[in-house]
Amino acid sequence: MKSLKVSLIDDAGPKTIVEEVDLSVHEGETVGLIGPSGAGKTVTAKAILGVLQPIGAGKRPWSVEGEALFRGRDLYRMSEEELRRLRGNEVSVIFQKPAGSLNPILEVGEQTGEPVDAHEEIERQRLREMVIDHLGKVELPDARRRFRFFPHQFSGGEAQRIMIASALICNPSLIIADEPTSDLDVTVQRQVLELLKRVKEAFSLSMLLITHDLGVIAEMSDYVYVMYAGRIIEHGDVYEIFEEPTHPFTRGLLRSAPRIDSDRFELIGMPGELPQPPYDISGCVFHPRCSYVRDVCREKKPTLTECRPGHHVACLRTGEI
Amino acid sequence: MELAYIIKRTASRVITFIVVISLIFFLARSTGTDPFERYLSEDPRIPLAQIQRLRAKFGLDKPLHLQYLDFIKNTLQGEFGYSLYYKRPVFDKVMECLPWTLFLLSISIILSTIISFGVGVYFAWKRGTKTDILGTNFCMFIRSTPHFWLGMILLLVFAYYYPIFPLYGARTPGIHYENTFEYIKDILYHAALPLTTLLLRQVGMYVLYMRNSTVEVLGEDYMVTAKAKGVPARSLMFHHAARNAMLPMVTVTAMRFGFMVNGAILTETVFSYPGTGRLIYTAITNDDFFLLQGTFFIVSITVLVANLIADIICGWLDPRIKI
Amino acid sequence: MTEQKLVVSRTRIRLNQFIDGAREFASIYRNSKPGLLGIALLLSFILTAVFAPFISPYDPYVRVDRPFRPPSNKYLLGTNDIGQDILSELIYGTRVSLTIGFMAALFTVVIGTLVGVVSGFLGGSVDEVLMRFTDVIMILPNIPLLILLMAIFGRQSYFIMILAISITGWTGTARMVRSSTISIKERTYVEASKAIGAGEGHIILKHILPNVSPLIIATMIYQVAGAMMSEAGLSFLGLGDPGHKSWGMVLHYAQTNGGWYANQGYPAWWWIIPPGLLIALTIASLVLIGQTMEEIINPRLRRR
Repeated sequence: MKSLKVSLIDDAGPKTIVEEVDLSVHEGETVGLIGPSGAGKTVTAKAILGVLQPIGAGKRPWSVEGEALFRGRDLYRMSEEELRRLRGNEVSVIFQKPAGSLNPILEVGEQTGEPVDAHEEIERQRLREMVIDHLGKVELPDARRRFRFFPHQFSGGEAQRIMIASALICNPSLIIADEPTSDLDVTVQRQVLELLKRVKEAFSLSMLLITHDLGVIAEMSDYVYVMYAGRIIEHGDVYEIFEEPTHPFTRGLLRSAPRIDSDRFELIGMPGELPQPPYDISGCVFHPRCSYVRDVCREKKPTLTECRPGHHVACLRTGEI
Repeated sequence: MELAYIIKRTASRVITFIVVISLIFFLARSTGTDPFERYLSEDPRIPLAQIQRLRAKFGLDKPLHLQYLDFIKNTLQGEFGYSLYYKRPVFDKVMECLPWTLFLLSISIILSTIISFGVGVYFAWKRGTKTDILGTNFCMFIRSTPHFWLGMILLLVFAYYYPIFPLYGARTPGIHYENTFEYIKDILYHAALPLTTLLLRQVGMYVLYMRNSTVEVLGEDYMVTAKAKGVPARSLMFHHAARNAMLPMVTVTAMRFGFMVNGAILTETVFSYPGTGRLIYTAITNDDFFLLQGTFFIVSITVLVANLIADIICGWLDPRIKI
Repeated sequence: MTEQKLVVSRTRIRLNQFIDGAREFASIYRNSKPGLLGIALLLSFILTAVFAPFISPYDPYVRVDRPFRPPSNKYLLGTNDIGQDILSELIYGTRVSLTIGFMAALFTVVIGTLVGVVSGFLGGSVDEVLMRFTDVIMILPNIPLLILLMAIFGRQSYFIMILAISITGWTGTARMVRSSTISIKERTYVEASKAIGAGEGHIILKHILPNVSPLIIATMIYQVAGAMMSEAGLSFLGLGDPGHKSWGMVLHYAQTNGGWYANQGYPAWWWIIPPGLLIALTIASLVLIGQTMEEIINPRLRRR
């Protein structure tokens, strides 16, 4: 069981980027985190392991508050060394742009094997075998010959597989996948998603899947959190969210997804623009774009309340709409 | 390594070289005065016959384009004329001085690269902290200081007031060395201050460069990935960040040898170090034209060759160029 | 009649814009401590240069006492090898050093901008040729070249020195201006101008130059710093004009005319340390100013 309660206040200013985020991932579950681009999802993911950019020991342009509990231990109270031992080992991350996330001057095989190398003593021969083995498991063609190659010699889909391999190589219990398919072609997307599903089964992993793509969430997750402007505005079982979207944003999101089987020809969008940090919007963060807005929405900040069993939403007008 | 790459680079160097040499040639001749006239007016002791001979030899009585050909011919034969100050062939004198300069320059380049590399990465890693800010400002201040003056200060402090190091020269004159080890010690002893001056200058520049490059690298996505894999800090800093940050640096290093010559001239003058830099200085102050021209020539060749070598090393190091 | 009025007000508007921009700039600049320090220093040097005759205790070209006297109440920085007051030398030297630095930088920037704009704007083979040319010059170490140029065309002439520095130093500016020109050229409003039928000269003046100007000003500052550094080096080597001593020249005399032994066999530190210190301070102040300007200009450009 891993549960993460994270409240983040990041600064470059100070600007709050993510606030009052409470997220839990249970054993064996796939939790989806969905929201528009820029809502703070990636930041949340990175904050969990403490890998916000830029890397380095210098003055950090951000600050994190709150707790992140992994198996009962708070990641933020741990020493850096303890945290490091978790990274790649029990909790792994897969990032968005596979090409940019791999170091261009290091061999792919070396990068895949890094998590092992960082956490245990192992002889080169065995490590090499492990790497090739895992590259095979992620269905990377011709791994035995190509693991000496450099990242730019692989396609996007292949690069993503390499990332997945390196994430799996230490047998983690939790994988955080940040938009793993967003930069890929649709066909490749499908392949990678299938791979992730298989991998999850095979390794019995828990996964936190972050995306802005509804289809991906629908397919992969068991439980969904919806994020907007740095806050969680709704969360619940995946069927709940899709059948009974409660928050106006979620509704708008689901409505605007084009479906082949519907009779509509127009695309329905949502008025207004996505707010950028710092979010100095009074009251509910969504109110400027909400079609159900009332005066109270402009003033009071809604908190997450249970509207249906197992389904929470942050809206002041829940019962009414 | 791509042969084409080497050839291309060599070609451009050769072209540059030809341009430079021609430039020197034409500029020299363009002033209208015969270089020998100047000598004649300076030193009446030189027998007229000798001057006529030299004149004929260098074909200064011939039209310009023929002179140019002569020039090329002479150059290829290694004949650079006669230094009137030293009363020896230019070539010999320059060859005597060149090793000292090369010695200083190569050691300073190697040392400064290593130092800048380490310090630059370290500063970038700790950016924003006191160490970084102090260090960076210090570097900036050094960059604003005329380095020959820094050399003078060093000389002042370490050779006069606290006489640790000698005042000038490359070796203690007139001493008979017991063995090679003594010789080396003496040389190092004499080279210490000039080296330090050169080092200060270069380190000042390249630390900043390296730091900026590293800072950029640290913001890249792949660094996040590496950290997320649990790679320890040390390894992150050097194995990942530094290697990537080094690449733009290496390109710059290729050009450095040329800039180093700048430093050498002034530094050698301050420390009276018998290298080619000081030779140029002597040539100027004594109006020794052939010495100047010859030294220039040889220095240019050296620089270009060094650049070429650096280019090759560059190509070898960066896997992206290879493929 | 009405047309004339329109023209006048257009210029007036541009002037106002300029003033507003400058005012905004100044207010941001005021917040930067290093920037202010830089300006303060530079200003004090400029003032010293301008009011030299009033500040300086003696005429630096007149022998006032025995040579090699250490600092005392009469001669705050002692005397040099001829017996001239060093402090006065340095004060007057401010004029020389600053002027040379500034003039050389001016020429350098002018040449560089010319080459850069032409190269960037015209593109094609002109660009190729110019850039090759630039590369060749760029790669050559500049001091030897400078020395050569001066040796040939006349040493001990600051005028030649200024020219020489400009001729060897314009390459960096040219490169920068060129890339800036190219990026401006590709912007849509230039396309729009062309579509309307604006002539090339018009485009250059109205669009490219104004956008390139902030860049040029920032470079100029660094060029002055660089030129002063070059001048110091060249003068130190003896290529300066003994009739107008710059700081570098003072160091030259210190080096060659016994400065190392003047103090009863020991170096005359009062002769050696101050000139270099002044050079360092001036250049440092310029660098501070340049950096502050860069910080201000860059985000603004990005916002645009």
